[in-house]
Amino acid sequence: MIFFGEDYSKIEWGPGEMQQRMQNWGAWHEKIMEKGIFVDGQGLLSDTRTITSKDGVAKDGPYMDVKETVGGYYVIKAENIEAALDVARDYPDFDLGGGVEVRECMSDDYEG
Amino acid sequence: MKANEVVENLFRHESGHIISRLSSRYGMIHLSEIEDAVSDAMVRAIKTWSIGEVPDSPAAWLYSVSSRILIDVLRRKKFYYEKVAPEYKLSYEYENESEDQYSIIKLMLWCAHPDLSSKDQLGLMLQLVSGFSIKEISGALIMKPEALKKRLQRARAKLKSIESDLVLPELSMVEDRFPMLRSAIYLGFNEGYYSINSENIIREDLIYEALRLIKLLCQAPHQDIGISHALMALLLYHTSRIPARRTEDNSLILLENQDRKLWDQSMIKIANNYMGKAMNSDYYTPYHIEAVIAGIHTQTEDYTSTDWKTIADLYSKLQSVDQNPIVQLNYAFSLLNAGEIEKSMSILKSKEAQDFGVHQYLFYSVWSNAYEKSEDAENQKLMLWKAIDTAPNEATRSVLKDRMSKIV
Repeated sequence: MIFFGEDYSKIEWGPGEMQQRMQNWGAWHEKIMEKGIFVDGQGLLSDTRTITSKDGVAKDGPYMDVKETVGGYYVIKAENIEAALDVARDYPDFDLGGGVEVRECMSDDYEG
Repeated sequence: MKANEVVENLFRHESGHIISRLSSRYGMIHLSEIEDAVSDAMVRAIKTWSIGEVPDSPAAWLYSVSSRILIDVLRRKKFYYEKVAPEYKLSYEYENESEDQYSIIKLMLWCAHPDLSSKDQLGLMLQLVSGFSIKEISGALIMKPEALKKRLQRARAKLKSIESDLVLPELSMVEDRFPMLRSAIYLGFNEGYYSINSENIIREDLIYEALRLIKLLCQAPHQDIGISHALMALLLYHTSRIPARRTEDNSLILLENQDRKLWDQSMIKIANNYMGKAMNSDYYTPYHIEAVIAGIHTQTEDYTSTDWKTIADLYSKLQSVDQNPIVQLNYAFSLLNAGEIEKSMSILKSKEAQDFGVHQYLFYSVWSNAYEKSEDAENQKLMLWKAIDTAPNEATRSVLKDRMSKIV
C-alpha cells in the first residue's frame, strides 16, 4: 500500500490536530498488527531529491511534477487485492484528500 | 506506549513549552522558525510514533527533535547571513544550555504586551502558549478565521518592530504586565464560560486552558501574586459548578435550579486553599470580591438559604471599583433577593437596555424578577418577553420560556 496525499508540512494545523492525526494512525496501525498481517512500513519525510542518471546532479523535489506526495508505505500480507483494499478502507487520511495505491508485490508464489 | 495512549493534550501543551524554551534561548526574532521547527517535529512524531513505539519520554523527544531542526535551519541562515549578507547580524548563541524554568511565563508576558488589546493578547497566547490552531481560536473567540489570522499577524508585526521585544522579558522587568496577563486569561475564561453566540453553552476547552494558564502563573514568583491567587480561586469556584450547569441536551441550568450535589467538591477545596492565600496578601481587588461571592455560593447548601445580604454588600463594594454594567445588574439582583426591592429598582431605572449590549436579555430578566417580587405579574411577563426576544441563543431562550410557563 502506497500512501499519497498532501504534504503534511504544508497543512496549517495546530498541535491538537496533529496529535489527533497521530492517534488515528496509531489506531489503524494497531488494527493491522492485531490481524498479524503487517510485514513492513515506513513514514517518509517530505524532503525529496531525485536523480535520473549515473552522472547527473540530484534535483530537489519528486521525479514527477505532482501536487501529491508519497507520504509512506505499508507492506501487508493479504489473500488478494480485495482483502488488501478492505484494510486500506480504514486509511486515516482520506479527509485530507489523500488515498492509498494498493499493489501486489512480486513473489515466487507461482513457482511454488 | 502506543500512539493512542499518549497523554491528552500532550502536543498542545508541549508546543507552548518548547516554543517558550527555544525562544528563551534563541530570541523572539526567530519565532516563526521556532514555530515551524515544532510543527516539523510533530509531523515526524505522526509518522514514526504511530508505526513504531512512542518514546519513553515523548516531551523530551519533541523538544530535542524541534531543537535539532531549528539549529539546522539557523545554521543555514547563519551561512546566509555571514557569507551572503553579512550586514545582518544574528542574535543567537548555542552555548547557553540550561533550562529556564520560567520561560513559559515569560512567553505569556511577552504576549501580554501593553501595546496590544486584551483580545490580541489572548489570541497570541492561545496560539503560542496553548497550541491552539487558528481554526480552534476563531471557534473559541467567535471570529472569522481569516480576520483572526490577519489580526494576529498585525500583532506579531507590531511586537517584532519593537527592539526590546525581540527577546523574552525577565519577570522582574515586566511586573506591570501581570495585571494585563490576568485580564487576558480572565477574558479567555469568560469567553468559554458565558459563550454568547454559541449554541454550545460551555466551551470547556477554553475554560480548562484558562485554568491551566492561571495555574502556571501562580507557580511563578511575582510581587502581586496574591491577586493571581484570587483569580485562580475565582475561576476554580466557577468551574466547580460546570457539571450542574447544563442539561444533557446542552441547555443552561441557572444557579437557582442547579443540583448542588453535582458541584465538584475537590475543586472547591483547592479553590478555598487559593482563597486563603489571596486573603492573606496585601491586596484586595475586584477578583478577591468576585471570588468571595462565588465562594459563598459554593459553600451554601441550597439556593433558598443563600446569604443575599452579604452578597449584596459585596456587590456594592465591587460596583464602586468596577464600572461594568453587569456588576450593577448583579448588585440589583442580589438586593432583590435580600428584600431591598426599592433600592434594586432604582438601580435598574438608572440603566438602559443598550448599556448591556449582547447581555440585554439579562437586564430584562432582572427587571422581570423585580416585578415578580413586587407582585406585578403583568410587567413581569412583559419584561420576560423582552428578555426572550433579545436572548442570544436557543439554550437561553428555552430557560426564559420555561420561566414564563411557570407564571400563573
